Amino acid sequence: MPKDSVLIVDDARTTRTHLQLMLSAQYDCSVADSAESGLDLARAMNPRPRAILLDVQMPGIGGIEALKRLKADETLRDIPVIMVTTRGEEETLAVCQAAGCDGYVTKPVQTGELFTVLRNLLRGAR
Amino acid sequence: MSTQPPRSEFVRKIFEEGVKYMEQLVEENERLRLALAKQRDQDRATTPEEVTRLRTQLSLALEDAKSARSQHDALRAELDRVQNENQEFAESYVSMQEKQAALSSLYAASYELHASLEMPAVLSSLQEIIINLLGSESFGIYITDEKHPVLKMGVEVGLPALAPRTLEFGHGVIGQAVLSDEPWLEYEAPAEHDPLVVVPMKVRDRVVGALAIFRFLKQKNGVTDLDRELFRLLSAQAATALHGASLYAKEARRAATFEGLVDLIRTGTPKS
Repeated sequence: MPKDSVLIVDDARTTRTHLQLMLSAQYDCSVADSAESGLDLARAMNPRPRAILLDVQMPGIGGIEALKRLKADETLRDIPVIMVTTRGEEETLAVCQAAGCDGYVTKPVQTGELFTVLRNLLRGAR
Repeated sequence: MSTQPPRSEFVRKIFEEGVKYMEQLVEENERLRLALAKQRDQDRATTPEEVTRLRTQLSLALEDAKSARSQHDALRAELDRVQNENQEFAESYVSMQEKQAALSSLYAASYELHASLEMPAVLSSLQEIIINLLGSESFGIYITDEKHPVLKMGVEVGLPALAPRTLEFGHGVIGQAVLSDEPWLEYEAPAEHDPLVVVPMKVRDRVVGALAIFRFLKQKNGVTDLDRELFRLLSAQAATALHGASLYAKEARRAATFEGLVDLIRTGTPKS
């Protein structure tokens, strides 16, 4: 059975490596190191990624703007987006939800939490 | 004289016929009663063979029931065993997933620390590890001065105003921690400007620097076992990476000086 593909977008190389290693046993991971390259990669991927892990704080347009652009693009809007943030404050989460995120996890990323959120979203999207 | 029988004769005849009729009724009644009794006896009475057959059948049915019960018990025990095994598998799967995540975390940290020999890149990787993998919100990375036993601030993030930026070995919480043999030290309920955790970074016995964490991110609930593994890793690996970067910088400076000298000898003018 082919693995579901997940796109990891984070400017921190440590986090990219960590998430990729953590998920690679169950998912096919692609990585992008900025919000802009993440958007480009999501558009270029065929088939589209089944889920996107998007860091909130990144240089350039940042995670929130990237999320808005993903949700505004009718070819990408159905892909579940999980925001990854160091900021667990409610206002940050409210901003993410207002921008259309489907789930979020806080750093340092807890394995169980990430797998649960991913599984639930992928199950719901099927 | 009348020829008609007398009235009494007529009554007697009627009476006799009534008696006969009554007798017939009693007889019929008796016959029916006997037939009914016989039928009841037939219903009730079973032959000894039939009794034996029924007994055998009953005994077999009881045996079957007993066997079914024991089969049921065996299946129930098997189901319990499979359920327990399933539970153990689920637990071990979660545990393996956690171990894999922990190893991923340690590997990512180690890999990133040694990905570069440039001091700024090493400090940047260290900073990423402390924020993203350890979940620290306020911390300082101190680097040992090349000439004096003094720790100087290399990188600070959200550091309390009163936290030391420069300190001598043996002075204050951090200065004392770097002289201990522990790979890391945890402090409970310290003052705001004192650290929660200090990780001395040493290459052999030489103190290369120290990491002092003053506050963790809001969503993080205390120090975990994985954090302690990361402290241990940073104590050794970050020290090596910092030491390597420091040596590389020295060598780069030396090489630049040497190149300058060679140019000076060759051209008679120093390289601009």
